[in-house]
Amino acid sequence: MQELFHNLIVTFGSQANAILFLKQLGMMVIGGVLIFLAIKKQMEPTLLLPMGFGAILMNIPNHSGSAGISEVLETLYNAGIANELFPLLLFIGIGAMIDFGPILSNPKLMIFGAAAQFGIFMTLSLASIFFDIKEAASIAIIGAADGPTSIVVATQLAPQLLGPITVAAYSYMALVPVVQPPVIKLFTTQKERKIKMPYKPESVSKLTRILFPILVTIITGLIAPGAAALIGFLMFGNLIRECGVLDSLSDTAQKVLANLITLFLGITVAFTMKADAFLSLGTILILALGLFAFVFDTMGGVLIAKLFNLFLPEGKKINPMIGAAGISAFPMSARIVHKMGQDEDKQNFLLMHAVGANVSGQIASVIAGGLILNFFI
Amino acid sequence: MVKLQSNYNAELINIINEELSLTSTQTNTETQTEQAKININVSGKRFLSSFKYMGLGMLGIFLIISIIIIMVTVLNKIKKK
Repeated sequence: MQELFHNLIVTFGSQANAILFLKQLGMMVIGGVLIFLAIKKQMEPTLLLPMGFGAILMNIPNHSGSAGISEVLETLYNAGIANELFPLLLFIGIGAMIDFGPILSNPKLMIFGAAAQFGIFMTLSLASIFFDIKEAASIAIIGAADGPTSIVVATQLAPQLLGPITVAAYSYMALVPVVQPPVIKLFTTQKERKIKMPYKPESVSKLTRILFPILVTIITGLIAPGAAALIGFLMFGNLIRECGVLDSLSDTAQKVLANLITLFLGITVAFTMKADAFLSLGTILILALGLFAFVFDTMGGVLIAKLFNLFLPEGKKINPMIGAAGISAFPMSARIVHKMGQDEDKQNFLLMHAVGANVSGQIASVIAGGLILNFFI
Repeated sequence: MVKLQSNYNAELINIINEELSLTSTQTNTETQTEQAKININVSGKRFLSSFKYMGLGMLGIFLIISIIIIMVTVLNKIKKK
């Protein structure tokens, strides 16, 4: 091994260059792992595959000479990520995809979306021990379980950490089926998991569906101006969907726009995944803190539901698992909660309640991101 | 006599060098300890100050979400009428 390393030093001219080469090889392996997870395990393939391939591209030794990879990715990075254009445009597509009907018919579910952002602020406190406050805030936003929000916040507060934060955010979003169930079981009893919640859908008028995105944008923008861009683009997408007169635009936003931006976003984020910056103790710490954020998000949602149950009569209690669905990982979190409810009692149908909480988590996570930007810019 | 004096001086120089070396090591160790204490102090202050953002953040989210819930409830009631 020593001889091999000595040969590397001779080949590359210095110890620093030899170490960089080894790190670049390591990053190409990591890129390969991301591609494997995307294809074989189907973990968020829309982002992990381009990021994995981008990581390989960015870490080809001596690539910046004739290939010009760095220059192209840097151009895309400056055009779409440094100015937050790509994630905000992606939010139009996401907004057009979301049906807010479940929370409009039962708005109280939105409380769980709010509670499930607890992990963000807990992680902010823990991360501040190891990082400066802006870096800690960027790492904490992994707990929003929302890729574009994480990218927007990290770009503004700690662009040097964008690579590991994005990898962590998308990886944990895909790992929600692994992370959430043990945490839910830890904080609930079997009796609580068996609580039935009958679903009585209330009809929602078209006017409510149209006014909702407009009023949410105004309210959020007034209280947290830092969130205006994030919530505004999300709600713009939703308004295009709900207005009923822009079906072709809604369709374009949901499919073509979302896919196009996702394509660029994944490979462009990889511009920050250079070996010397990515492979560090800080990255491992960020991955650990990201997991911590997801755990505490789940805990926050479950505990708020249990708190409400202290004051609710029998027959009207809330299944605490619904709180866990308040995390923004849509629709995976809702499906997990529904499945866990079915595992306890086949007659328990929690899906629509969980979807309502899950959708509200989307709004709450964007608000949380905006508040973080408000505090630190 | 000269030789003795020379030996004595050499020994004295050795002793002085040893003392200096020890002092230098001691100073480095003290500096590192002091730096570590400062780092812990700074981290601790950052950790404590972060609770302010936790409070404000959760309060902000619950405030905005509560307003939205009230707004939607009112909209639903108006439309029912």
